[in-house]
Amino acid sequence: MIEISNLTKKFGTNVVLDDISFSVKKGEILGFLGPNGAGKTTTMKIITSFWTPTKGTVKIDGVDVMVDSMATRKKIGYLPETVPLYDDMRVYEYLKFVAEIRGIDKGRIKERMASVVGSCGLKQVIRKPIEELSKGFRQRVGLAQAIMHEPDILILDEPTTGLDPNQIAEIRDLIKKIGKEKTIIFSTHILSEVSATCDRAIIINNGKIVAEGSPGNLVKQAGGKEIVYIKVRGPRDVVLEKLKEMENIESVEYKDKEAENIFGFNIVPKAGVDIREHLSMKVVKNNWNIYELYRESVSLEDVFMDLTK
Amino acid sequence: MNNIDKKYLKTIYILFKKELMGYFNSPIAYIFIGVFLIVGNWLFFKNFYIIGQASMRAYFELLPWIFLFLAPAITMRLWAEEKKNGTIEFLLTLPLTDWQIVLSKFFGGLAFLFISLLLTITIPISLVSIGNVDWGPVIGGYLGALFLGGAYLALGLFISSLTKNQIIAFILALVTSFIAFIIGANFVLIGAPQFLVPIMSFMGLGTHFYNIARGVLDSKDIIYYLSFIFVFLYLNARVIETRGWK
Repeated sequence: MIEISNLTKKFGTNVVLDDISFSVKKGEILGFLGPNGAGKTTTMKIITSFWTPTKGTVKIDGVDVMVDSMATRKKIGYLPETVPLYDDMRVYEYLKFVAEIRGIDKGRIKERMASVVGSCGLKQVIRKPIEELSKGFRQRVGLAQAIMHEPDILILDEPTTGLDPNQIAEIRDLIKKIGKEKTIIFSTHILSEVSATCDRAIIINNGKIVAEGSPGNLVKQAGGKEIVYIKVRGPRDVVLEKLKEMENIESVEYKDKEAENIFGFNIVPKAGVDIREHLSMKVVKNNWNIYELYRESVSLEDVFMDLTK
Repeated sequence: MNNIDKKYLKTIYILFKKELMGYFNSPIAYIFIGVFLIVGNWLFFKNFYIIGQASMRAYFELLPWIFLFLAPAITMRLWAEEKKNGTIEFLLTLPLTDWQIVLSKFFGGLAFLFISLLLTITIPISLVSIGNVDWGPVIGGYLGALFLGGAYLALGLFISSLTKNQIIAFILALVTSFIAFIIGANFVLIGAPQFLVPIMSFMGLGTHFYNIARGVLDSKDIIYYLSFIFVFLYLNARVIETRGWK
């Protein structure tokens, strides 16, 4: 559905996108991850024909955006990072303008407006001037704008930035709901968002793709590392010393203190070894007490930080 | 007219409507019109009863100078604000050509100017009360005002496309319009090198305005204004196409 090949964008001598290629299948929700300035927004602006690439092509359903931009633009709904709203309009005026300028038939404008107002939850603000809307509602109006003409593809640039946790959850649900019928690319730097909504994620840094795959796979790619956390009652330095002596261990570090004589430690075992049994025996043998013991795998956060350092 | 042309024009019309509504959605438009009417009427009527001629000549002498402020005030926000609000990204990723957007904005501004001019109708009406009016120069004056205004607007719109800042857009448009207006004026030509005089006299926006305002409709003047407008709309479309703003 979206085919990006060898995309490069330079501003002067500054290379913002460096020869990236990827494709998005129909119906897929693709998360676009990366630190600020990595090239996420640039990629999106090229897909939507706001900017032209220095090199490379973007094809939508086989049509090059440089060759027939009018055709590809019709298929795309775009929510830029700065939500593009006319503050002096009321919400319904804005939506009506969007519907008209998108060339929706006169007879269907009402129906489309009702539909986007319903799916984006805008009923209570429909008569309000846009300048009076909260950030969450602005974002929703922006989203309503993007889906007005029923595009096959949605490009959403950081749709949840600056929202409070409740609003983030709402927008995320909305994206998921809309995503059932559409192909979506959305960018974010909130990683839980990717795990929660995306089928696939691409991590981009300094204009290059550094990792690609399902959120689960990305974590695995990072080496399947895990951490065992143990909280023990016993003398801190002695415990640390003894833990370090254990077999199949890469590193141990003191993590936190709950109370006098109760300490937590992070242990990184060698890959593929389950040390929990051994660990508990060790503690018992030394007459300490276990307060907590659990294993966690490396999170997407760690993968992200690792790759974009 | 085939379907595609109709759609092309319809889209321009929708955008044009939005631009024009944009003026009247904010109180600033009413202030502009108010100031324009008060200043124009006051300066005109101050001497009108003293001179006691049923002619608008004095008014049309004034008008280009008032337009020098009104036109940049109309155009300053047209692109600058879209850039500041981020709506430019919405606008320029719609399935529209850059020309459609430029034309909508230009005609939106022109319509606003037209409405402002329409409200000066009180002046010719009061002329009738004083004596026999020679309508030729009055109609010519209004027509010339529209052409001159259109030229100022095209220039101001182009300048607005270069910047994000409305104040800069206003001042730059004012200065360049001023230069374009006086370049053909007599007091400038006196100081100019001899070989430049005919060129400067032809280039100046003012010369052509006073021709039309005398009631002499020469195709040379009209072609001049249309070319002037076209050149700056074209440059505007180029800036938009290359996203060449700061």
